Amino acid sequence: MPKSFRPIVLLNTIGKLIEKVISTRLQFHMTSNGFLDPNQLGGIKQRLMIDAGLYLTHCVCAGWLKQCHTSVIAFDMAQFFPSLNHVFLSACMEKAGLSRNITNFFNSYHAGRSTTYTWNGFSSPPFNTSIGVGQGSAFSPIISAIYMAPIIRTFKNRVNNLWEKIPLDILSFVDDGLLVSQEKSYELSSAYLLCSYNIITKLLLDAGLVMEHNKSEVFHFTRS
Amino acid sequence: MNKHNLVVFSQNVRKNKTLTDTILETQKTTADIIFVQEPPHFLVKRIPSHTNPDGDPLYGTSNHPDWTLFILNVPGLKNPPRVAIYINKCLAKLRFSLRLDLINHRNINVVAFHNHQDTNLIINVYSDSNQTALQVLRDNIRNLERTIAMAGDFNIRDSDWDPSYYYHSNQTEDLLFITDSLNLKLSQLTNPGPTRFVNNHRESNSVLDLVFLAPDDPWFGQHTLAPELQKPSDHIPLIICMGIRKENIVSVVQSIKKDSEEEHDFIAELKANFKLLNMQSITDGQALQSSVNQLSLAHERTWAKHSKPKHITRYSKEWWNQECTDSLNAYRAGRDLMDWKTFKSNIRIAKRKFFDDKIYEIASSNKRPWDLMNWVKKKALPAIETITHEGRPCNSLPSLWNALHCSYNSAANRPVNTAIFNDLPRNDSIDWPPFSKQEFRDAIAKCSSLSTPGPDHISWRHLKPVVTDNECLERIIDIANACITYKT
Repeated sequence: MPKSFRPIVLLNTIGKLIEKVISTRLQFHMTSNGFLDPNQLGGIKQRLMIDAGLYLTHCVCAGWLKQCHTSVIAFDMAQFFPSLNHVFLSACMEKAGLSRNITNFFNSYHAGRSTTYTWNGFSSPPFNTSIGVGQGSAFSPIISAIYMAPIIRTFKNRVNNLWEKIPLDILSFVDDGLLVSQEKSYELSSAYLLCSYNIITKLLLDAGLVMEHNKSEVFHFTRS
Repeated sequence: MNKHNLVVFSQNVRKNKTLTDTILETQKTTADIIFVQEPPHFLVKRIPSHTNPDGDPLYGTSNHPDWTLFILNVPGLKNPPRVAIYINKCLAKLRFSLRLDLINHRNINVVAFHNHQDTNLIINVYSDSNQTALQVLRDNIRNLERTIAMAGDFNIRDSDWDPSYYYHSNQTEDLLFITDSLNLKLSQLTNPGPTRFVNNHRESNSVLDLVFLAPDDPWFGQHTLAPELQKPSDHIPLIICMGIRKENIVSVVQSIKKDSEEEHDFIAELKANFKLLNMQSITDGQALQSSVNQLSLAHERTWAKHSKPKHITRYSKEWWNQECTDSLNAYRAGRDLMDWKTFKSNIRIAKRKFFDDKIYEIASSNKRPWDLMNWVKKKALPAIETITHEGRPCNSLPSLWNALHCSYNSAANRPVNTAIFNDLPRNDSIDWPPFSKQEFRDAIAKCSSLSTPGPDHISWRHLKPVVTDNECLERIIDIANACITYKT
C-alpha cells in the first residue's frame, strides 16, 4: 500500500540549518505569547507525550474520587502533513502575530515545490506539489502546532458556547487527538463525546483535514 | 551486451535454523539468490505490546543483513510457509518483488524482477506428498508466463531424472504439463547424482530436487550438486547458474572517506566558497536566488572534485568471526557430530560477544539507550510486495510514481474555510530581529554528525567546521536574513 510509506524532505544542509534557527524562534514565540493551546502536546519543545499520559491518569483517578467515570474518544487524521493547506496556514500565522515578512517567507517556501520519488534506486520525474508540509523538516513540528492551535481554540469556544455548555476537554498530539468527558453516567458522557466528535470533525474538514473514522476508538475507564 | 551470471543456491534445509543462518552467512559473497525449502519457523522474540505484559510473540524465519527475505507473512505458528527466497542486497537495482497477486500460497514463492524492459519471474517450489503446489501452479499457469527459472523440492521420483528408479510417476505428467506451458525445460546436472540421501536401508537415495530453466534464453543456464555444502540436511544443495543481461547490476556511489585528506580539502574548499560570496550585491529576491544558486553550483563542483567512486560490495561487519569459519571448515572436513556442536557453540559465543559489545557501546559511549528499542520492537522489513493502487499492482515505474503521487496529494484542491476562526483575537505582533551567531551555533551543536546528508552531499560533519569559521558564519547569517527580508 502506498499509505504504508511517507515522503520525507531532503534539503541542502545549509537550508536545514537556517530552518532549525527559524523554528527555534517560532517555538519560543508561539509558546511565550500563548498562541499554542496548553492542551496541544505534540511538536512543541518541552511538551511530551508523557504529559498526555500523566494528564489522563490524573484525570481518571480524580474522577473516581468524585464517583465519575472517564470516557474518551481517540481520533486520528488521515495523511496529516501532506494535507496541510498553505492558505489556511498563512491565516493561522497571521493570527499568531507573525509579521508579513515571516508569512511571506513561508508562502514562498511552500510555493512552487516539486517532489521526486525514489524507489530502490530509481527516481521519478519531478511532480508539482501544491499542498502539504514536508515531513522530517525542522519546520514540520512547529508548523503542525501553529496549524492546529486555532482549530483547538475554536473547538473549545464552540463547546463552551452551546445552549448547554458541554463539560469536555481535548488533547492534541500532532495528527492525533483525544476528547475527554467525565460524568456519572455513561449515557451522558457518550452523548457529550458524540456531539463534540461531530464538532471537531466539521472543524477539521474546514481546515482541509479528514478524520480517519475507522481508526477512532472509544475507551471507558472504570474501577474494577 | 554483456552477460551476468546469477548464481542461485537452492536447498531443502529441513527447518534447521543453524543451517539456514550458516547458508546466509557463507553464501553472501558467492550466491545472488537463495531458494530455501522447508525454512525454519520459530519464535523470533517477544515484542512490546499494549495488551500482553509479556509482549506479543513474533514468529518468523532466519534473516541476515546482507539478504532481503521474500516470504509469505504468517503471524502464528500454524501453517508456516514452506518456501523462502533470499535476494542478495547487491541486486536491489533489479527491483525484486514478491508477487502475492499471482500466487499466494505457502508452498510457492513467485518473485519478479525487472531488467531492462523485461519483467521476469523466478519460482521456488516445495511440493508436499499431496502435490498441492502442482495443483496451485496448474490453476494459475496463465499468470506465470514470464518465468525464467523454477526450482525446488518436488518430491517426485521418476526415471526421467532418476536413473536408479525404473518407473514413471503420474505426477510427472502434471509437472511436465506445467513446465511445457511455461516453456521451461528440465536442466540436467553437470555432476549427476542423487539429491536426497536416506539413512535407512528400506529406501534408496533419490533425485527430488529439480531445476527448470527457459531454453529460449540465449544464456540457458546449468546446475550443479554441491555435496560439500550439504551439512546436516538430507538434501544436497543445488548451485544454479543462469545468465541475465549485465547492465543495471553494478552499483557505484561517490563518497568521501571520514578523516581523510580529501575530507579535509573538501571542508577547506567549502569555506572558500562561502567567503567568495558577495552579499553586498544582494538587494532583492532575484539577486538572492541567483547568489544561492551559484553557491550550490560551487559546492557541487567541490564535491565532484574531492569525492571518489566507491563500489557497493557484499561485505558487511557483523557477528561472524574467524572461529566460526574455522569450526565450520573442521566440520565440513570430518562430518563429525561433535564438530557440528562446537560450530554451533562458537556461533552462540560470537553472537553474544558481538551484541554485548554493541550494548556496551550504546550504554556507555553513545549514551543513547533508546537505540536499543530497535532490538525489541518488530523490525520493519523492506517492502517486498508490489505496491497496489486501486486494486492493481504497479509493475511499471510510471504506474508506481502515479500511485505514490495520488496517495500523497489526495488533499490537493480540498477547500478550506478560514472564517472558522474569525472571532479569535489576533495576537500581538512579534518582533523579528536579525539572526545572531549564537542562534546558529546552538542549532548546529545538537545536529548528529551521523545523519544522512542532503542532496548537496554536505553532512553536519562537514558543516560544523564551516560554522566555527566566523567569516563563513556571517555569510550564512546574511543569507538567512535576506531570506526573511526579500520576497522571492
